[in-house]
Parts: sequence; C-alpha cells; structure tokens
Amino acid sequence: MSITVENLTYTYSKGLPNETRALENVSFQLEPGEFAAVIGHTGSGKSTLMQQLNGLLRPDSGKITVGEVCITDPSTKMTEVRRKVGLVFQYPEYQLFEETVAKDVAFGPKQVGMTGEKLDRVVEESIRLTGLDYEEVKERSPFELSGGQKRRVAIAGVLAMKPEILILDEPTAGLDPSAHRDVLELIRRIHRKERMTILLVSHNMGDVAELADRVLVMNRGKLVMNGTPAEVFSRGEPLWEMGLGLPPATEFMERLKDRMPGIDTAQLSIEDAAKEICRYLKGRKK
Amino acid sequence: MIRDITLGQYYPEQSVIHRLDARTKILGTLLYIIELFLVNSFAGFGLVILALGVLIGISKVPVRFIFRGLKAVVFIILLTFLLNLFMFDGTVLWHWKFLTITYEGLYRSCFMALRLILLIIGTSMLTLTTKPMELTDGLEKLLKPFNRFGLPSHEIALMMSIALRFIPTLLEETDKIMKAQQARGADFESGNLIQRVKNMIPILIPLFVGSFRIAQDLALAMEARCYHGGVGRTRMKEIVFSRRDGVAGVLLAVFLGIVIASRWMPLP
Amino acid sequence: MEPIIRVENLTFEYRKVSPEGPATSFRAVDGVTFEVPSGEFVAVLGMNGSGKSTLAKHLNGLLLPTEGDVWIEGMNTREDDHIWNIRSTVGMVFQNPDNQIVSSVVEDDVAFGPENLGVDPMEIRRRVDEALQAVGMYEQRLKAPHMLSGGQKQRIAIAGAIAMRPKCIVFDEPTAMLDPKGRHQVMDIIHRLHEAGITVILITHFMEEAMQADRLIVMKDGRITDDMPPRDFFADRERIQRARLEMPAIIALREELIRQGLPVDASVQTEEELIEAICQLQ
Repeated sequence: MSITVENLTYTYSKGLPNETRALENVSFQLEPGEFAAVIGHTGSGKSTLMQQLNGLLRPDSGKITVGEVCITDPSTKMTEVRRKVGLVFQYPEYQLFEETVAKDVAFGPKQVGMTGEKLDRVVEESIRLTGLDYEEVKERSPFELSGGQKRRVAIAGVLAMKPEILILDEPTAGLDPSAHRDVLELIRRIHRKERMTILLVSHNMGDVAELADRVLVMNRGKLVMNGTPAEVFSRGEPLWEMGLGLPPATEFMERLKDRMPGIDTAQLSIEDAAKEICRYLKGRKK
Repeated sequence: MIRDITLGQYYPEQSVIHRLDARTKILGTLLYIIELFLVNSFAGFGLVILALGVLIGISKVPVRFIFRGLKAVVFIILLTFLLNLFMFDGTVLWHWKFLTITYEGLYRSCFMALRLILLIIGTSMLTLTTKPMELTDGLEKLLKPFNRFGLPSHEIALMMSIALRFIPTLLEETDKIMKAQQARGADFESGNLIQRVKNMIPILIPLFVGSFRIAQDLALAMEARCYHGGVGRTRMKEIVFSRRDGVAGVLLAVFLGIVIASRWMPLP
Repeated sequence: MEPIIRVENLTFEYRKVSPEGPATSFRAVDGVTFEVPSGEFVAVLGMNGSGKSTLAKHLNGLLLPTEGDVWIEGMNTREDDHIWNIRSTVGMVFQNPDNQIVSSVVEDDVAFGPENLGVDPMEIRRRVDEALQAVGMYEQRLKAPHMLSGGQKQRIAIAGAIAMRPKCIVFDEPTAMLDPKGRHQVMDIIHRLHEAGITVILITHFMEEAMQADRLIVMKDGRITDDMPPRDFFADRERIQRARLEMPAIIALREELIRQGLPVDASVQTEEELIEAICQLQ
C-alpha cells in the first residue's frame, strides 16, 4: 500500500509560550512494498510525523493518503486507518498489559473486530513471525520474558492487526547486540514475507544503510533530504551539521579518501567497502 | 493533549511573589482558603477577585497560563454547578418534568462554582510562583514542630517534592501508552461508563508497571547518592524570612480583616 | 597499594518466588574475582542478563553479596559503618536518565548527594556549580529536568555523582537511551573524568565505547569470561563470537579485508591504524 504525504504542517502547544513548529510543509511518497528509513536527531519532528501517519495526531494543514483513503479527512474512520497502518512505538514492551502473551497479541486484532478461529490463527502466525516459540510463550506472562522477547511480543501485537504499512520507531533502542540483530532480522523477514511497506525510524546509520531502499532526513520539522541511501549518505557534510552521522563503512571511506584520492566513498556496507579498497589497491598495482 | 495541563506547575519568573519565603506563601494560601469560606456575598467575592487580580499582576504569570490550569478541572466545576442547580427549593424559575431550577438554586450554584474556581486559581498561584523544592522545604519547616507528635515532616515533604517532580514524567508516560494502545485500535472515547472503565485497563496496567519501575530506579539512585532520611542532612538553599515577608504578612492580615468585615455589610 | 575496588569470589542469588512450586534461586553473579587499581578505565560488556548490572550494584553496596566480599578502598561493603563512605567514594549513573533525577530544578538535583552527606551549604553551592560546569550544563541550572533532552538529563545525573566528589564512578549503560549526539557528549564527559583521575567503570552494549577503555571485562552467565585490554579481545574473532557480541565496524572491516586476501595485520584496532595499514599496501 502506498503513502502520499502532501504539505503536512503541525504545531505543538499552539498559543503557549512553548509553542513549537513540529512539522513544516512535509511532502513525500512511498510506493507499495518500499522500505524507507527516517533519520533526524531528537526533536526533528520524526516522531510527530509517525503519529500523523496513523491518525494519532491531526495536522494543522496538509493531506495524508494511505492507499486510496485520505486519512486526514475528518470523515474517515480511524479504526480502519489504524488497522492498515501499524505503529510500533519506541520501547513498545512498556505497553504490554495482558496476563498472557497470546492475549496481549490478540488485543489489537480483537479491537478491529477479529474473532474466533481466525483470531487464534492470526495470533499464532504473528508470534511465530517474530521468531518466538509460540507453544512455549503463548501461556506465559509477558512480564516474565527477557527484554528482547518482550519487544518481539509487542511487535507481534501490531503485526496481528495485519497492517499493510508498518512504522517502527527505533525498534532496537536499548537492546544488547544479539537482541539487536534478532530484531533487525525480524524486520527484514516481515518486509520480505508480508510485502509490507515499512517505515523505520532509526539513529543507527549502519542499520539504515543495510535495510532501507530510501532514506528521508528530517531536520527542524522539515524534510531536507529524500533519496536512496547511497545518495543521502554521499552528503556527509550537511548530515554532520544536523548532528547525524554516516554508516560506519561510508564514514571510514570518507576518512580514507584523504589518503587515497579517487576512491569511491559511496560504500554502505563493510563488504562493499572492503571490495572497493581491494579494487582500488589492485588498480594501483597495475 | 495531556502535556497541556498546567495545574500544579511552576512558572519561572522574577517577581516579588516568586521571591517570598515559601512559608509565607503557604500560610497565605491557607488564609486565602479560609477567607473563601468566610465570604458570604458576591461583593465579597468581588473583593477576593480584585485582590487575586492584583496578586496575579505582580507575579507576572500570564493569565492565559493560569486559566489553562482550569481546563483540567472543568468537569468538576460543571458537576458542582449542576448538583447545586437542581437541589434547592424556592422561587421556581424553570420547570421541566422532574427538573426544577429555583432562584435560590441558581444563586447557590453560581456561588459554589465561583468559589471553586477561585479556590483553584488561588491555590495554583502557590505552585505557579514557588519552586517545588522551596515549597516542600517550607512545608517541612512549618511541620517541624509537629515532629514531636510523631509526624514525619521530612518524609512528607520529600514525598511531595518527588510527586511534583514526576508529574510531568508520568503524564508523558500516560500519553505515550495511550497513543500506543490507540495505535493498536483501542478506543477510549465511546461506550457506556462501564465499557469506558474497562477500556482504561490497557492504559492503567502499563502505567502501574511503569510507575513501579520508576519508583525502583529512583529509590536505587537516591540510595546511591547516600540518601538516608532527614537526619544529618543539610540544604544548599536555606530559606529565610525577609522584610518582604513581613510586608506580605501585614497585607494578608489587613485583607483578612476586610473579608471578615464584609460579612456584616449589607451586600448582594 | 590497595586497589580502589577489590571483588573476591562474589556470588549473588536472586530469590524467585513463583505461584506454583517452591521458591527457586537464580545466580546472577557467580564467583567473580577482580581488582581495579585507582585511575583505571574499565569497560564491562555482556548480554542482557549476564550479570553486569547486578555486579555494578555491588560496587557501592546497593546490593550485598550472597557469598564473597567487595572492598572499596579497603572498606568491606558488608560493614554498615562504612556504607556512606563507600557510596560517596563510588558514584553511580544509571541507564534511564528520567528515573534518577530527584528534584524539579536542575541545580537542586545536583545538590541532593552533598546535602545527604551533610556538607556545609556554601560548600554545596561551590560543588554544584563546579559539577554543572564540568558537564557543560551550568547555563541550564535553573531549568526543570523534564524540559531537557535525554542527553542533557544524563549529564545532570553525572553532575549529581560528581558533586559527591567520588574517586570512582560506575556508569550502568549510560548511553543506551540516548541519541547519537547525546551519546557522544556523555562519552566525552566520561573521558574527561577519567583524565582527571577518576576511576571509571563503564557498562555498555556499544562496542565502540568499550574499545575506548584501558581494560575490558566480558561477562556471560554471571561469570567473567574475558578480562584483558580491549585491543587483545577485539583481535580475536572467536572470543567475540563466543561472547555473542558484535564486532566493532573497524574490526569487521579489518576481518573482511583479510578475508578478501589483503595482508592486513590482525592487531590493527583503530581507524587511524587501519587507514595507515591500508595505505602501506599501496
């Protein structure tokens, strides 16, 4: 399912001393099945944007269209929007509340009217999709799981609503390296298997470079860059100024360039960087 | 939006009121509350409003900011108004089925609503102009004489200041959880009362769990910083009475006199 | 000389009470022994649940060992008489920046520790100002903590620890909840504190941060599996995988270059070294 955002503007605490322009004239479009990442430092407006996309916040002006439905139209039913656009918040494990994992995952789909066998099936599928052992966890209390497991249960709770677009706000924040890897793998799997449109908010440029087809850069409420990871990360200078970094491989290549002029710095992964270094060195030898 | 609630917040400003000793302001607020219950006429309220207006003017806290605080309690004010409106016998002004509005009821409900509004605005002036730490320090000192009767004044004050410190944090937390559950299709706006209460469970449980987490973290952090109760504790800022507080005291006493006098004046 | 921290055969068990069946106990830390000489910068790595945080809480007597002993400058944490001395010697900064700030005003929060120690008001003022300047938050001293960013709040928490004039600070995943900018600022402060002679224990999940330490302790299932300079640890791919940790990007690139047949030395660690090594091949 596609998303079209046109001239979105939003102000927090209107008319108060702490009034802040959170979004200013933001426009972009995502194709069905696209994997996009949003980067920007804290307060750049990315979290506000996420909440606009599934109708939790209403824009002051502008328009958001999800598939065929204009969700900023006041007559649109919000439950339908929320079903289509799944939103996984930061530290989603803090929203778990049911007695058992299965019941918690069932909360969302139940709210949108799923019942009976279909509900059970969806719950099981979603839990399995996140890589958890369904039989082992379904009857357990979500509160006694490990941090990484809790997070996966929370993600399963959103997946169970069968969204067509999935938005994740820093899904790996605070996890240890191995749980971090698991969650990234899970997101990749969802994207591949379910053909969902994915929007990932992340501070980790390495992850962004690895996963996304497209990168949106937010700064002070504005969308300042929109392109492929290679395009966006070739602009180290402005990114640094915004307090954002580069993927480690790209950053290394940028440093290396001073000593090896002419080397192609547009490398997003460690492997590609190594290949380019080898290629460069071989070229030298000839 | 939850973060717009201003009730109980501190408004940083450099005014005479802000610089008064917290004890003066606490006692003044107590007097003010007593005065509100002494007042028996609208004209008396006029006096109180006048005094409150002057106070707000001096404090430099924007009126708009103060009124936002009322937003959170509009429901309570309305309830007070309605309860009083239909509860009094007397000259009938309007009648429909079992509902009757009397002149006395109308008078009474306006009176009560006004009193409540003034109560909220007046007491919120205390928190708006006093830093939470000063407030609790002041309270601790005022309660100290009661220590010998077993009142843990230090602990009470600390509990209050921590509560004040964590109001914004918990509001933010609530906002986050509400949104997260809404994103999962939760609906807090429709259904009957029982339904609505039931709908709150997905918010209340995570909020409870979250509060315990905060409490646990905070207790550890306090212990790590050598907290061991009020014994042997010093303060960076010792609060002291100054000339300002003397002047404020006199003004408060004079105003109390005026309010008491107004009770015997033939006013509307 | 007496090391600032001496941990001997430390074991800690949590009692788990479950509704069905009898109470079971879980060993979070299992027979750990190590010493930290004054002024060292030690990083502690390990997965969640490996016992890092539990170990950290023993270093200033927030938890007492089930078995074994912890000495801070020769004071045993079991002895009640020393507990305030121990806690003012070893400060702690925790993961969640929100949940460790006590007061609604920044400077009052920083004063909380010295106030508890019964320090003279004038002296508290001096320490608070110094501590706030040390973390670059002096300008924000009158603000309410909830108006600050996560990174700023964490700096306030560090100032709160500094104001107690500790000789050692234990950081328990201080950057886990911060954005890159906040993380960078906090790491800068940690380095400056280390340079000023404070012993630093840094628990982290970020390999790049661990590489900056003098010494690395890796924990797994409550035990120390590795205790060596980060340089040696990160030179050994197998060790990294055994601990289920991640390779820092530079190390990963080094390994990849070796795999693709470039003669890069396995001891290369930092960006500068790797650039140098690659340029040598030209």
